[in-house]
Amino acid sequence: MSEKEQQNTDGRPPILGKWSNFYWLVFGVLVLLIIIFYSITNYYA
Amino acid sequence: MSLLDWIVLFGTLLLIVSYGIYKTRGSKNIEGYLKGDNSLKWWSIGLSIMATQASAITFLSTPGQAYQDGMGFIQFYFGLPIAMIILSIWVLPIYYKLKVYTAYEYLENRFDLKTRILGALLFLIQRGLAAGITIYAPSIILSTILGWPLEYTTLIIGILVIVYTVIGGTKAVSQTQKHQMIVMMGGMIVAGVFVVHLLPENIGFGEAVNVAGRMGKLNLIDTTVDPDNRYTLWTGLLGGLFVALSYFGTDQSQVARYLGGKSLTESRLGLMFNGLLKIPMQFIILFIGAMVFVFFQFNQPPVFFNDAAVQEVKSNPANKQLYEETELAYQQIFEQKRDKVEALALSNSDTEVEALQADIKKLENESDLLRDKAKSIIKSTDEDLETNDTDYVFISFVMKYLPSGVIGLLLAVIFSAAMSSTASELNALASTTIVDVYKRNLNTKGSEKHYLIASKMATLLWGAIAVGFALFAGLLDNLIQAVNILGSIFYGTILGIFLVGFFIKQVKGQAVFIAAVIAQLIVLYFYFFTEVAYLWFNVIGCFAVIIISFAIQQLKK
Repeated sequence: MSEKEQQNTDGRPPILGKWSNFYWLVFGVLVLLIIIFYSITNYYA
Repeated sequence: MSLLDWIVLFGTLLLIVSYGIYKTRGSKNIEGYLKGDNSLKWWSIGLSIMATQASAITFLSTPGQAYQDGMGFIQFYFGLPIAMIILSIWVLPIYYKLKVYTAYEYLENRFDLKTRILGALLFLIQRGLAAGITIYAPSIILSTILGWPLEYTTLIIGILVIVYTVIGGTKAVSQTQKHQMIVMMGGMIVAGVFVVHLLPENIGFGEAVNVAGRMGKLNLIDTTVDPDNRYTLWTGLLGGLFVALSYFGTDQSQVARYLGGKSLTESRLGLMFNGLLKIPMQFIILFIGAMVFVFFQFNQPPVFFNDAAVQEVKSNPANKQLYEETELAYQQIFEQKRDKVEALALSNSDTEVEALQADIKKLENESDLLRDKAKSIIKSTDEDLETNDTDYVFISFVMKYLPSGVIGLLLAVIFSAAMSSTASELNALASTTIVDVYKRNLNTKGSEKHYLIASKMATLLWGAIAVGFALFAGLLDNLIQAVNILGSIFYGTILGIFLVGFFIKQVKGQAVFIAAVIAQLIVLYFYFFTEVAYLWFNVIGCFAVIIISFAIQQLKK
């Protein structure tokens, strides 16, 4: 496979193995941050 | 400013720019110049995306926003990680498959040439004006604070950016952005450490957080459904998603950042990097603003933070006396409040905290009335003086309370931020001008060398336009708002065209082109003949393109 072809072919992401795992990680971190921020807001409300 | 500050400021800026030019000199073709030879690794892409979005106003305005209204602005970024996922799944593979240089090339592939040109022109008008404002907005604040003529700050930012963007192209933009981003976040963290360190001895980090929280500055999430409230969980998730999809998916200044990736995988990882780190980065900047608020509970803040405006008031004898009386009254309330805030910081009793909060609230209301009075005195001195001092809170703190050397570093943060976002804009304007307009329509048979020189000339030309616009921007009233309105007028239509392209396969070029023109006319009608808030133009334009193009396509069947 040429370098150009390699550029356009999707490879596996590092560590997590599958892209769907990466997306769940990003989404999970978002949810976690919202929960933490909500807890801080409620604590001082 | 001390000699050390000057050395740190110009040493940092020149080092970043010189290293960027040295590392990226000598592009031999347009691919190298506009796409960086597809050599960027994921961390470079991620940092470059973040540096492009983080303009100088981010570092000047955001802490001031937390100081005034608390940290609720963080919610604006909640849609961003979801937008990164959507772009990574559906949009990035399309751009890579088509090997595009610009986002608008996709429009020709999916629709036709005229739709591509329409998209490119809408971008050039909007971003061309915005590039001038990206330089003008921090220049006006820095010139006020430093006491330099506006031309100096504008030219420092403008010339440095033009030099390395023209010489090194996309690679130089990304290379410098890596280091600019490190300076920006490093500088902000240093400022954060100092602000806590400068608090009274009995007020540690925990007590400072307590003060911020108990005085309503840690109000991060608002779950109410209130159309008048700009920042809530719902507007952040829905509106923020909409804005982020439009900005990161169709604006060439961002698209160019990830199209320069070494592979689809690297570009996707760059987007994920942004999705993971953007909210924590904004949290840090806002939190520093909240800590500056706590600092000014123990140290007398000025009634009004823009000292240049205050000096103008004091040059008028009648207003001087009135203003100084207001300052004295403000100081007296501050002293009463300071003792109560100290007790609030150290108290562990809920009942005592509630009583103190009520007392402090009363004193804060009195302070607010005095600030309003000060603003009315400023307005009566000169109608043109700006009475919103949010952008001056953080920089005033930096200039007055931080030690020598750190002031230079924080100014380097603001200049770096202005340069990083302007560089991406100039690079994107040049790419679109050459690839979508010149090479595709005006001169289709030029050599690689010809297009490389043309790209450099286009970068130089857009740089000169942006600096020229920034130099004369002060002659126009309400310019920043005018450019924001202009952006909103076009953004919705552009996003609508792209969304139809990505997700509604049966709609063809003729239908989407007619729909885009009609949608643009509808938005213009709303602008000229109604009172609708301009942020809604984005939504109106986008949905108008989608609905009308779909309807036209159905009628044609």
